[in-house]
Amino acid sequence: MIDPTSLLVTAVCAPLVGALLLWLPPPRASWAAGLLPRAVALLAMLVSAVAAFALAAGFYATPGADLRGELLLPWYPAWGMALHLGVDGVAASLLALSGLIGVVAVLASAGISNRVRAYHSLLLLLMAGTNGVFATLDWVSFYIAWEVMLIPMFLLIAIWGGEQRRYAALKFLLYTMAGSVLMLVLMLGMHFRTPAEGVRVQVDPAQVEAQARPDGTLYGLRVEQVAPAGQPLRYEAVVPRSFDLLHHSLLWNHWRGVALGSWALAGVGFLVLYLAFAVKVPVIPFHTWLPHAHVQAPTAISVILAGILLKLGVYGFYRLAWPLFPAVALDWGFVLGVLGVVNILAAAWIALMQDDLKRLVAYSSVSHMGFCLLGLAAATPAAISGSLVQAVTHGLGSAMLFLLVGVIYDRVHHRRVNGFGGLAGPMPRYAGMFLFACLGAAGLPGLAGFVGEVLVVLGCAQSPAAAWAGHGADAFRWLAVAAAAGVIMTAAYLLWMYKRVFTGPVRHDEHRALPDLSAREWATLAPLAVLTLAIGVYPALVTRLVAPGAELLARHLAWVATVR
Amino acid sequence: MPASAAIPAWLPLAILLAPVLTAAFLLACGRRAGHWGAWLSVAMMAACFAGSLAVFLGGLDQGHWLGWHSSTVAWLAAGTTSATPGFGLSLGLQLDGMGALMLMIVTGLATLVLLFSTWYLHDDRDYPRFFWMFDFFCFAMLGIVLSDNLLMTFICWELVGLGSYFLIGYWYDKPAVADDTFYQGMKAPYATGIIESKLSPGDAQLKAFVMNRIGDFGFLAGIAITAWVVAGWCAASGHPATHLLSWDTVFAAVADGAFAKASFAGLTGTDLLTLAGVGIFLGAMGKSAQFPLHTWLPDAMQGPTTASSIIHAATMVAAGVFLVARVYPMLTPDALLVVSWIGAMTCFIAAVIACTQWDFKGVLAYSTVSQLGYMMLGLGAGALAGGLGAGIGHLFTHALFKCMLFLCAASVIHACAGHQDLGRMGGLARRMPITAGVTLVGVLAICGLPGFSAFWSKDAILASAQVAAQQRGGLAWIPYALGLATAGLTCYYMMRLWVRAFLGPERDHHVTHHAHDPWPRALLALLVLAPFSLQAVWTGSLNPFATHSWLDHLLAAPSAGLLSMPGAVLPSPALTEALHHAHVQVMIAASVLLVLGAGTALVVFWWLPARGIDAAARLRQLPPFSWAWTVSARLWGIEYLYDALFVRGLGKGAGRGLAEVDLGTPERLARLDGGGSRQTEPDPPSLDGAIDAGTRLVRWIGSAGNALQSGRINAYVGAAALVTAVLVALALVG
Amino acid sequence: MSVTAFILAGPAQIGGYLAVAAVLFALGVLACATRRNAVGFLMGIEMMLNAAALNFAAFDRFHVGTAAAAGHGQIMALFIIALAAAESAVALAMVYSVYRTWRDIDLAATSELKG
Repeated sequence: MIDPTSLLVTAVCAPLVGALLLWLPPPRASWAAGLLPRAVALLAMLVSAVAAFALAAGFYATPGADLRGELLLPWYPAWGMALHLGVDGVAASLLALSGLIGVVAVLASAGISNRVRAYHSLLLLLMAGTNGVFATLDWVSFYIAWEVMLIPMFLLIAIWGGEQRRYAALKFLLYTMAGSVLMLVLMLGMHFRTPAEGVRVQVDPAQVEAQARPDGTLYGLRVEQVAPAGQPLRYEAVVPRSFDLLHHSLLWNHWRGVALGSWALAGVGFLVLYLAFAVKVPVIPFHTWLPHAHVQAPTAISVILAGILLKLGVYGFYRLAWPLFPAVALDWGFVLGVLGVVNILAAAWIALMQDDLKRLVAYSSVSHMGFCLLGLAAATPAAISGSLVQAVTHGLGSAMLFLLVGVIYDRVHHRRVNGFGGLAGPMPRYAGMFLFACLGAAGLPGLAGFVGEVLVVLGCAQSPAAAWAGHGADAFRWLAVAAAAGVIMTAAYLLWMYKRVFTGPVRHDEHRALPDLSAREWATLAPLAVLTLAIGVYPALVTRLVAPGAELLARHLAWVATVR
Repeated sequence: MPASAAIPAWLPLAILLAPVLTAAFLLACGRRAGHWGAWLSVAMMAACFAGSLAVFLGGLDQGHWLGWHSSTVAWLAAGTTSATPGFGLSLGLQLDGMGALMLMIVTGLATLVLLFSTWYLHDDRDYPRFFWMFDFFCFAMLGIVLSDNLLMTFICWELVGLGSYFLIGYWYDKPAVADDTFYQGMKAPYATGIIESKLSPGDAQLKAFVMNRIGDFGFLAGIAITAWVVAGWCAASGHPATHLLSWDTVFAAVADGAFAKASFAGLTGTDLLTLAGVGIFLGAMGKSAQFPLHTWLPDAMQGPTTASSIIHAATMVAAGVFLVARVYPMLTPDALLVVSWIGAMTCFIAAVIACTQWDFKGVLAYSTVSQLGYMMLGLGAGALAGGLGAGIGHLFTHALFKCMLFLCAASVIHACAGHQDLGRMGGLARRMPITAGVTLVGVLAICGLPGFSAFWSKDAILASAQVAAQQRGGLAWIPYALGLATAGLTCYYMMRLWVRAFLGPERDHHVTHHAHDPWPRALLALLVLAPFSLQAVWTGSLNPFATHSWLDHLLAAPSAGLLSMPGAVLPSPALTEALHHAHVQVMIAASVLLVLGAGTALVVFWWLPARGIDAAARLRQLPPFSWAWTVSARLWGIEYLYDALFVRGLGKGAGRGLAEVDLGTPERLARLDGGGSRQTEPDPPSLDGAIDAGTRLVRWIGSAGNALQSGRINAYVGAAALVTAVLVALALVG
Repeated sequence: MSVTAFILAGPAQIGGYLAVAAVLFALGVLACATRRNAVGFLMGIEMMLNAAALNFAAFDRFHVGTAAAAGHGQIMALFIIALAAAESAVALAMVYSVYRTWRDIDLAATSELKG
């Protein structure tokens, strides 16, 4: 049994090492220009993926909400800065997804022919940043990893992208940076406003039970049981000033008492974090960068963007926004749920009328991520589980869709839905895979997309969050019904697109001789398809990883609702 | 229910999984499967039928059927918090009498249809594909029959929809009928009512899937409400919640009054239960093509006729009826009222349309919709009015004779070189006597001639509907009246079908001159099915007017919970008396309508044309009949309405509007990054445009600041002096 | 004592000198800010320098500073004169350089230098 810390460090550092290796000057042989960077990149991502899957397998074998693979390296002790790595089941599942998407993206980058070394090193740097976000438990390295992702992504779109790449890349960069800069200000502000001697807080018994270390400390802090006069026994701890996210999650009640102007700091903080991550998820109305970025990016970058980058937003909600400001999350829960449902329905309607295949799939991503936001807002174990499962399964499904769109684009160099017709004749296997991917995205039971959706709908139907937010107890049940209505439009736009592209007689003679899927294309699609089917039939592959964390968060929110 | 020990635990699971494993194997073999793949499917399905027969006989105990339940496998789970009860969702298999019989019917019909298909499709280019799709469909259908909980039913529900999607779109590269020269040449001159540019296998499969999804939305919403209420009940009452949506748990919760303690949208108690029941019924409406979700079924005739025979006649569309029967203990009297109204409207609307259809398969398709409406009308009458037995009885009898009729249709169409227009057929009875005879048996069955199966089952439905109408009173007589009217219409259009195709002179020699009965194995399939259209098989007696069937013993008795709901009909001697009277009255009425309907058809389409009078054409122009003809031939305008309202309006129109509000017009998109033509007019406002306007503000600030850097030294000096003066002033003041 | 108070309440005659210096300075600023002719611009600079020198001389004359600093104002005025001369030489060299490039000593033409 390999030590989880080494696995975690390998998963994060392998792409980084690969990127650095690619910066070295290459040998002057002909194969070095094209083959060597691809080989190095593939190797680095394979190592990272294997390590991440091993880590996830550990969580599958022994499910639990505890943190594993922890590594604490002091950085600047005077300011309480330390590098704190560590994962729970949720982070491990996303790390595994990231590894797989990275491997698939490298395989899908075969079409890149100019500046191959630069491309692959930027791709590895991007994946290193992504893995870093999932692996850290302290705010500084979270922020650094977050920013590390931005520039490589910008360059990858701006140099290797489509016709309007500069516009799309700049829009992506500025939009995401605007959100994360606010997060930096908040981070520093909150750190320096924490009293230097620490704060005494009440601790959620569920957190103690799930995440206390064998030596009895919780996140390295000593927890004591006190019984104040006339009140039941409760846990308390003294939280020092630090950048550690786990420590910050204990301070939620403290920030409700600190004022910033006429608002509570907790409210402002949640808004800032919400905006930072809502851009990434993306939540309507902060989503307009996504269609441009997806359309202009090369296929492999779209795969990474949809497959894993959007999940960073959801992970940000799960790791930062909800734990740091749970009371505000409950107050605003219904509004967030409505925004989630708007995502599901509006994006599906918009996707219906898109002529560009990539833009259609981009809006389909926006629609699916609506389930993630809705699940988190509903604050029940089922709904939060569903939200996190949906994040993983959507990563697989939309990566497949973008790869498939890339297949036809590589052959005919356009993506207009109305410019195709009857492709199932010349390319039957491609048509079959495309249908499989569409059905997975449409939430067909037996494929992975269904699991997240059904958990979110059932979780919303039993959600008490509406009463906690001060609305009628039924409010979330209406949202559950509205979310269920999403299945209609999803099937409509995906299968209508399938019909126009694949069925009917072949409309353009030059399409009659198109080659079917090549071996490399199969290699990129097969792991995603196999996992989609496996998770659809046996959801425990993912639910065992995310359910304990989801249940802990839900219990924590329920406790906060009673204690605040 | 007491479990049967004579059924081996693995057998139902094997029956369930054999089709999907065969399908996966055939899919993997691809084109190499060839003809042996087809025979493998036939053999596998025959083995499944043998297994189903063994299961049925194993559970039979003196006319009753003992229950059977498998162990369950946990599938999804949700944790518990202080504010939310946890639950588990598991998968498992369960059978009762109705299910065991359905199992036999599904596997039996599937075997016969597969056998028929080996002949019907053997020249087809994609022959192996049909068989793995068919096997996959059967797997999903068997899953619905065997499922022991709502979730597994929903899962298999959608998979059945997928199987139907595959099979309808089998000939995926056929063009829309507007562009199909063969179709344009084949269709009747007076064909109307559909939008021809939007009818192709690709369109039809999409329409079927999306319409079924509308039903599935209701189903999922109903499941969500049920899960919420039952989870709360389990937490309160201590009942284990590991198998939350199983029939046992749900019905126990309903009987214990779980819904009375919850409220949603202002509804509680039986009203909330009605809401959940109607939600689940919406799923049944989608799958069983009830009005208004019925238009996918006639379009589904774009698929191979053998697929239609199993899916759109016997099994998939019956799944909706089967589901309603399954959740019967959950359906309140109000929910049942909804069921009966929808069923009645469906059966009447579709019957009216069927009267003028030019296409052999089209008549059968609308006939199926109409008969499904009958089944819902029967179920809606309520268990104590005999509705459950009536609806399920008609489900089974209809499955058998409709499957047979579709196979006959396949034979006829194959014989007529692909032509489907009734107007070009005629006189086929001389060329294909056995097919004509079998079709006649089916037609007489559906018309309800005493001695045939549907006489018994339709009579049961109408009797139950009458008793229910007596109980409910007032407007509740309308469904019954519609059902009665439909009986007459059914006789008319089915007899019209048979007479036009098989009697009279050959109207188009080119079409019919090669017609002959199908080859041995196809004929075998037809002949095996024919006896099941006789009443004796179902009632177990040779008396054509018998009303009781061995089926009644197989079905579960109404639950205690159902009896205790407000408004429920309670058993009483008066009720039994009323039922008996109703049976007699209905028999007489149905027989009269049979004579009227079938007689009209015979007169108009055989007797008068034999004397040289084209009565049909003359009636088409005569004012009262011509209006009815227009309504019928134009499908009540429903296709046009749906296209304008939902496809162009609510779908594409709203989509385009939202897309332009979101990202702007295509002209704006082309102009980003400096490309495209010069902007002549300002763009309409959009979300993306607003965000870009924000960047333009920043750019404006920048360019304004830029103006300060003019390069003119004089300006610099002036600015420096001004700023210095201001600073000095501030220093002096402050 | 604040500067304003000093100017208003100090030895009576200094006000006049300071006023003249102020006016001279303002005129110098105006000349720099408005004159497009490079030589005129330099004249403006000279005026400003001389106004400052006048200010120094006035303060020295009316014994504003400490006793040890007596005469320092006059020395500053001499410094300024020397500085002005040196600066004029450099500035005129620059004007000549401008003339070589643009064939004109209009300062508007040199706005190209903004980059």
